Amino acid sequence: MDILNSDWLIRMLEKSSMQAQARMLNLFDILDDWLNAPKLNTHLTNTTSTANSQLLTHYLTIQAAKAGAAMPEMLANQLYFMAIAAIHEQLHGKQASSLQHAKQAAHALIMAQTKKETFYLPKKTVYATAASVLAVMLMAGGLYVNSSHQTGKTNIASSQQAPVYASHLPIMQASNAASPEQTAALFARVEQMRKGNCQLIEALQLPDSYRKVYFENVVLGQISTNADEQRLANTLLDKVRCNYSPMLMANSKN
Amino acid sequence: MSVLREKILSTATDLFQTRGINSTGVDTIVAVAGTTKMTLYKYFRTKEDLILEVLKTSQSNFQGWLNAKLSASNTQPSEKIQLLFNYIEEWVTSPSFLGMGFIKASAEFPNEDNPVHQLSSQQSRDFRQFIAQLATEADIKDADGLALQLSLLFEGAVQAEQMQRGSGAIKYAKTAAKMLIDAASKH
Repeated sequence: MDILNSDWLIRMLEKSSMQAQARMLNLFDILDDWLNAPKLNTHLTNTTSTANSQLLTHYLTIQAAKAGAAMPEMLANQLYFMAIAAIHEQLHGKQASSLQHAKQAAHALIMAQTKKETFYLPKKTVYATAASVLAVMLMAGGLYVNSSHQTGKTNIASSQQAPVYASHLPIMQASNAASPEQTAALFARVEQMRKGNCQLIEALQLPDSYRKVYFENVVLGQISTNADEQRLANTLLDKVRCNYSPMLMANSKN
Repeated sequence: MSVLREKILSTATDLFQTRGINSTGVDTIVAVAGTTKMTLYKYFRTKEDLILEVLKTSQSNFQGWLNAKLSASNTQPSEKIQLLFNYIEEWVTSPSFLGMGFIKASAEFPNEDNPVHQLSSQQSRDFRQFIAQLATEADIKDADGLALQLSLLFEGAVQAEQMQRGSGAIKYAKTAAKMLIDAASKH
């Protein structure tokens, strides 16, 4: 029986935990137990081929997607290769704890793939931004108080009709608006991408807020004028792999 | 080294990595290299000899490049292990990267008695030993354990990269490696 590609292993993994991440990691424990079982480990000695790994890698891909991995299929393949190498090492390399070391490495890899990507600004930038927002609010507030004194009833009436923050909104939007150069640069990148043979990223794996920006800017080419959205679109574009070789040239290489 | 021998060796290296070792026949190698079987067998007694030479040369090139990078980095021993995966990423993402010979050979020759399998296993162990040495120099207590974890990460990422060029597998492996090194450094 090919243990690594068996329904039995999938059932064991399924039963081992309710959590997708734990199920992936439990692969290494189950294989370790199996290797330490007398007379059973011979079933694992000749399973170093990648050709018959579909059942297990498919299952791991599903678990990786559930765990929120950035690239589930790639993570599944990496875990599979690590398990194979660790089995081999444990059987032939005199390293009795190879599968446990592989489990630790797998844990780090899962963490790396499921880590949420955030945009960190340098502290200086954060302080500067906070200070300018505060200054803008104080100035707008001052203007508002000043004009209220000057115009009396009229302004009181208008302030009842529209909330105070409405007067801040255009200022806040303007401070977050991308420059024409930034917009043009993003537009040029999207246009360039369309000239190549590109492998787009898996949109379903993106958080909802990212997905909207991705579809509008990268897929549909409707470039946002918001600087934050453009920054996110640029980061997502970095992940799109493109081949710009002319088709004939690309074919001639094979 | 003869120019012709060099040509056969580099052609075989490319073909083994792109088409697979077992799927590449001697006929293909001589046709692509623009030579004859007689010339090939003059330099390499058998196809197996050619495979072994390809593995030795590839590993020597990789290890030489890595050593040069680490020597030139001019960093403390404790920082060299942190730099290791940066350099590996640089190697793997370079346009000329076609895969790691010993990883491919190990998968294609699973039989323990085969000389190709034996050499690829030895090269894998040597590389792990190299990582263990860097870990020892960085004062990491369980240097062998960390070296095993990092080499498993490395081999898994390279195999994923061999399956799909530009997959980004090495990028995540680098992040994971940093986590493992940081954790091992605290013990």
